[in-house]
Amino acid sequence: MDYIFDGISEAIRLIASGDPEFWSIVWLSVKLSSISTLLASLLGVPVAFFLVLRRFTGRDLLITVSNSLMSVPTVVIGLFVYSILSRRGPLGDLSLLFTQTAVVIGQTLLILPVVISLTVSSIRSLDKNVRETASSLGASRKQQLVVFFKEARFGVAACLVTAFSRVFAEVGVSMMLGGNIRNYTRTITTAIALETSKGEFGLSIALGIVLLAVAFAINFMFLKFTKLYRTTE
Amino acid sequence: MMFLLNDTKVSYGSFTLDPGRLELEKGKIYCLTGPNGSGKSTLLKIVGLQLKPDTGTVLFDGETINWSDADKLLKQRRKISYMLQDSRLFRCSVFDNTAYALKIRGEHPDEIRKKVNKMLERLEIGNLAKRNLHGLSGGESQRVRLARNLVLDTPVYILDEPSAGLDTRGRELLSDILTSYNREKGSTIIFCSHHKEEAYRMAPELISVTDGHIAWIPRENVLSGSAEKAGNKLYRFFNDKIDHLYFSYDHEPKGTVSIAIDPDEIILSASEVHTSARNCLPGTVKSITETTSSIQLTVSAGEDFTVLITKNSLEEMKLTKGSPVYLLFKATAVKVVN
Repeated sequence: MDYIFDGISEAIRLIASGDPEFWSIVWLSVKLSSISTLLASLLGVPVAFFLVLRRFTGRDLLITVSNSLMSVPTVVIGLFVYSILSRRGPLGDLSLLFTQTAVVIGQTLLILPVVISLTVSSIRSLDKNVRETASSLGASRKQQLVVFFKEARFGVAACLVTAFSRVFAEVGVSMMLGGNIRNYTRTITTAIALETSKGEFGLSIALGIVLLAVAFAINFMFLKFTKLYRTTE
Repeated sequence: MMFLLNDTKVSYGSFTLDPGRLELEKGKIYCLTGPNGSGKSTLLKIVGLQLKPDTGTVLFDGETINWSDADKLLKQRRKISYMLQDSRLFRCSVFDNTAYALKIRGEHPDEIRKKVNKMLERLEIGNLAKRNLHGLSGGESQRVRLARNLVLDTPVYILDEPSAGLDTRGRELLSDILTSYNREKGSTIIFCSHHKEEAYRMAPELISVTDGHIAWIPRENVLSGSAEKAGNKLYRFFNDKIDHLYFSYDHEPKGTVSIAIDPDEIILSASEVHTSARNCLPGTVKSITETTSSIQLTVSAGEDFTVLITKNSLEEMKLTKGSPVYLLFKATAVKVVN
């Protein structure tokens, strides 16, 4: 049991000491996850709005496909992108494998279905009610859409928080596409996997604590933010 | 004429709303009553120009609605202040919610501020203006919804269940505002309600909606006179023709009182019986009219009362013109109309 207590005390020392390598791992995780979430939302949110606002054949099928892709294991996404970026793959000449860009590509693909599906389900129920209410109050089509986007912003923000949490905690894509290279592509989760296998519990536990703390802080801030505007419905 | 629905029909699955020809006049108050799912809200949506009927035409203010002319339709919709049953409050302050419909109509901000504050005060929620929706009670939320619609100065107000969730004070305020809009501005008001008393009090025109069909409810047995206290929430009604008619009422009636008794609530008896019904008035049958579904009797018991009975009852009681009868009805069956 001692090794666990030793690990915890080492973790506290690492967090408090401001160890540069430790904090650079944390920073890289935050940076890559933020970029992936940003890219996935730039692509996914407009797609979700399109799927909700436009009626066309195959729409439900697309939503179902997106829903199914939410549960694809991270290593499968890793494998898929790996096969495209590896030297023998179609984009092999770009030499992107084991770079931060590769991790961002993989992570973006990982959470794109999450962003699309969760946004669709959060704004779908809103759609009819908000636009009908606005119309009954005399809003033009354009004014109805404006109020719809405004009302949807909290639901969309919640989806992005979930997407960030998913990508921040994933290990498969980062490991397969980043290669866990020290000071370059080593993220919190890949470092935990490596250090634990080496028996370095202190660093693993310290990173685990930070990972949970960041996830908690983001969700907590979001909760505070939405409480300000929560409706009675 | 404000609205004319001509052979309009809407179907959802097995349900069809078929109001036939429905004419609603300018400057009147109409109340739709009927059970849940009978088609009241759907009818209001058509009248509110929000739902295009499957067949038939809708005339509003002398013009036939062209559902494909979006610009024209928007202008016509803006003459109507329509509150949906599940009208959504937006995620902003009470003030901004109330101001929404004025803002989208392009009114000047100073004017909006004045109107919104006045309406919030009138509905006694002026203190909530800066609050966001979090923590508002159901009744307060409903007052905000009402404020958002009543702040508009339109010739027509269509309100779907406006008193849902309101306390007695809220219902009083709503009824005061609607009555004053109707009297002072000549607004046409169409609403639906489950509160029969409220319907009787505010609406001279009652429309019943059942299974997608409509029927005008005649306002029968309306009497005017004075009232005096006869017990806890119990009053005795009298005028120069009637001496003893008891009714229960939550408030102390003042001055001249008008009461109405639903013909369905009156039971006819051949002899004087003692039941839990507070009122037992002796009278004589004045006329007998056969309608498609029942027999309508006019019974003179001081005042003339309309009573509905079945054909079987008429035969069993062997009633003819001049037969002596007793009218039995509960004190709670008497509604105060003004």
